Amino acid sequence: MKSFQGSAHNISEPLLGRVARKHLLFDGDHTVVIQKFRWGLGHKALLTTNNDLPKQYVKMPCVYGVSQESLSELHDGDVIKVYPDGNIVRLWEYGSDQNVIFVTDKCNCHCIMCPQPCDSCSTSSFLHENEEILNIISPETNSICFSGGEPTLEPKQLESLLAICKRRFPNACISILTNGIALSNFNNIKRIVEQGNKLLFCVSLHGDVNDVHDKIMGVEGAFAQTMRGLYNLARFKCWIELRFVIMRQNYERLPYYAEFIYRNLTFVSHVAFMGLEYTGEAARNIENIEIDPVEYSTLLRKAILCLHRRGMNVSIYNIPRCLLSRDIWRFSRDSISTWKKTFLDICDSCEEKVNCCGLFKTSVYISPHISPITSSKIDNNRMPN
Amino acid sequence: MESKEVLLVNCVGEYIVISIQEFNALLTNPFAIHSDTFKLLKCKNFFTDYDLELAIEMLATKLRTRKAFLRNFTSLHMVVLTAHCNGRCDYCHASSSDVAKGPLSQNMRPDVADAVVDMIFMSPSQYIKIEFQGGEPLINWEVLVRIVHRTKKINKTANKKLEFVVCTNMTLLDYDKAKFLMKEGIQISTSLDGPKELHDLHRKMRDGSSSYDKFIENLSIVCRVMEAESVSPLLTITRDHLKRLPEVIDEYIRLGFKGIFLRSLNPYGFAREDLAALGYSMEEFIEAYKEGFDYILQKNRNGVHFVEYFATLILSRILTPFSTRFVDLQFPAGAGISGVIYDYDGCVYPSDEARMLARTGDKKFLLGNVIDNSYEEIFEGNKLKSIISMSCAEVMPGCTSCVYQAYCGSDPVRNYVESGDVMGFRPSSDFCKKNMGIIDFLFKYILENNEQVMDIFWSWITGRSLEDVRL
Repeated sequence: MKSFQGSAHNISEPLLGRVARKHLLFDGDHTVVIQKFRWGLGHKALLTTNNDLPKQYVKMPCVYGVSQESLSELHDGDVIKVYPDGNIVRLWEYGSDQNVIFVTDKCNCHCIMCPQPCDSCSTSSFLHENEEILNIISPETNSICFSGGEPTLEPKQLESLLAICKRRFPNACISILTNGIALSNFNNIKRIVEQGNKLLFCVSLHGDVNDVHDKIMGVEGAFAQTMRGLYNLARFKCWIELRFVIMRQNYERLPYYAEFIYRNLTFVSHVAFMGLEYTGEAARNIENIEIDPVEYSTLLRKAILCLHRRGMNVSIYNIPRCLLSRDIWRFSRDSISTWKKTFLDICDSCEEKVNCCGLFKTSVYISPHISPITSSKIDNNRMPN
Repeated sequence: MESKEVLLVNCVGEYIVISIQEFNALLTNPFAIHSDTFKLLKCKNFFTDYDLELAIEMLATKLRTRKAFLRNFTSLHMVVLTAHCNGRCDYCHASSSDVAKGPLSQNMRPDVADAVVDMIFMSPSQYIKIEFQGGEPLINWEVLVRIVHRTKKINKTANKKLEFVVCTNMTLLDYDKAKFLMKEGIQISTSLDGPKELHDLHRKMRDGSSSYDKFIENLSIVCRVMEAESVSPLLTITRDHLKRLPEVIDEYIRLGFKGIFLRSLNPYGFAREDLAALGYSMEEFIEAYKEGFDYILQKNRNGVHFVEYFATLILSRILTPFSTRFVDLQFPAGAGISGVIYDYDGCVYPSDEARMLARTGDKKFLLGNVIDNSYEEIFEGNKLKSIISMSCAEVMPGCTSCVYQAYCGSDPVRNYVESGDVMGFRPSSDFCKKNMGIIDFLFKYILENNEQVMDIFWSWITGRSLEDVRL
């Protein structure tokens, strides 16, 4: 999530609210208001580029000295949280389809490549804050993603958040990122699904056999539980996206995995093959899991071909085009969130840059094979037919 | 396949090829085999080493999916509108009767037709396909119209998904009839045996005219009225066709048809009587099939989307997890439970072949008559039950242990004709020889795994163009 820094004044506890640039009293260019009420009246706090606090607002919660650049990135309708230390975090970006609601930081797995390691015994609750976000964002919001931690570990909270979505955004696309383990409980799914909107479950499945998947997830029996969860989701006719993060432990399974999905989980609507983000646990375990996309590009092509031939929807996330066989470029998506996305200097001369997902700013490993794609190179480097 | 390799297929049609050494090791101690093979066997559900309950659930799901064609009970209802025909094909399986001699005594009567429609609606299936057969069904046009109208009227409340097909030589079609077929959404299944000389060779008209010329003339009328996809021709391969399949295929492509079904001559009706002149050994057929198939493959390589339908059926069974109903080749057999035929006199038979057999005097498979018998007597009687119970691969000698079981099927009527026994006798069965031969042939292509050939196969299976299938 995007965050900015300024100096706090009169802020004793975190404040959450919606950004409004246009306000009777302030000019929007240098001062931004955090609204007090949903319907726009009053203000909770100010963010300003001024280095001194204007005298008339001495009693008002305020962050001053925010850079002009940071301030201009905030838009009306964004939801931000302001901390007593002057830190400003954007929890929701207006108009973006990359917003995520973090239901919990609890998780029941210990994935070796987890980019966001969580506290398995965390007791903090985000319910109140999440409810507030969902209540103040624009009613035209059309895409909401619930993640964690593992969001299904708090079924009650998830249910109440989904109930807000049903009421405020009946037509929005709601997705839930999950490892699917808790969904092996039929009643868990039933309650979640009953809340309304048609849901897309993005389920992690990193192998076609239990050994491979369980080892990656750090939980014995994870594969079996997730398989049961997937069958349950099919019973409720939910949309399902499978997510397979490619790493040292499972890259050899790619073609078999594709065939396995077609044979056993034909009902999924989408399969995504994902490159690693080397941060968090993935950075810690880099020696163990690291693999360059170049090493698996033939196998990935096989997996894509297998699913595509069979009429299934398939995508590639997080792998730059120069590391992929050219004939599977059309399956790669612009999957890296804008605030995390970066390019190398050499990428400037690449003809595919505009279509490329780019690289993770957050990653500690960058493939040495990144190289700009130019027309001449395309001809010399013909990919297999 | 190299003789040093072993093909394994499980009950849901998933396959794997392993070396003979690995296979032997597998038999003695599965845990001793190479871990990659072990994983492969596990992901394909050949065995499990961690969660038996899940493995069973996965297999059950796949089996249920593959056998989904059983869910609906009888959906194909063939209605013989007449036994008369204006043609007299040398190989007529249905032993048709002449049209010139006196009144058409072998036309279906209106009261019988009404009883047939009422019986059809007794079927629990939500999908009803009515196929008009003959003789030449257009000879009894009034009853065809009557059945269509009655069916649609009843369906206003029954709300089933209806489909109609008329199996006709097209010689009696005219603009008005074609209009009616178009308006009512009736598809045409017809016959085309190749270019003129080859087509007219065995497809003879009783008045001595050329059946090919009339076919072409009326095809152009039909194509003016209906979409080209509404017409699909069927080829009957006689000895004279064996060496000339490429010519036949060219003719199909020339006329704009999208595919062909290369099927061998069946031993019924006139064809059975005249087997010496028309027939051939199964080995000869398989050779001809391979030649025709490879010719079609080459056409596809050259950019012509043209399908071989029998291969597509078998390939779908090998390569997909889905259910493929084919009444002539499924386990349990489609007899009565998937398809049924009502003869012109109201007699009900479990398959077209059973009715053809009855025409030649053997009424062994007669299930009853729509006028005299109830739905329950016909469809829930012991006769049909015993036919079906003897058509399950799991209990059929030879099929129980066959590696191709999941891809094959049984035809009890055919078994009876071939061996005098409904269960059949595999070692001398032409039916078995043919299916084994063709599945062997197709498996070679699958295991070769040439990317272009597999792209073509998938374009056939999924009904998409080659461009849509490949990378």
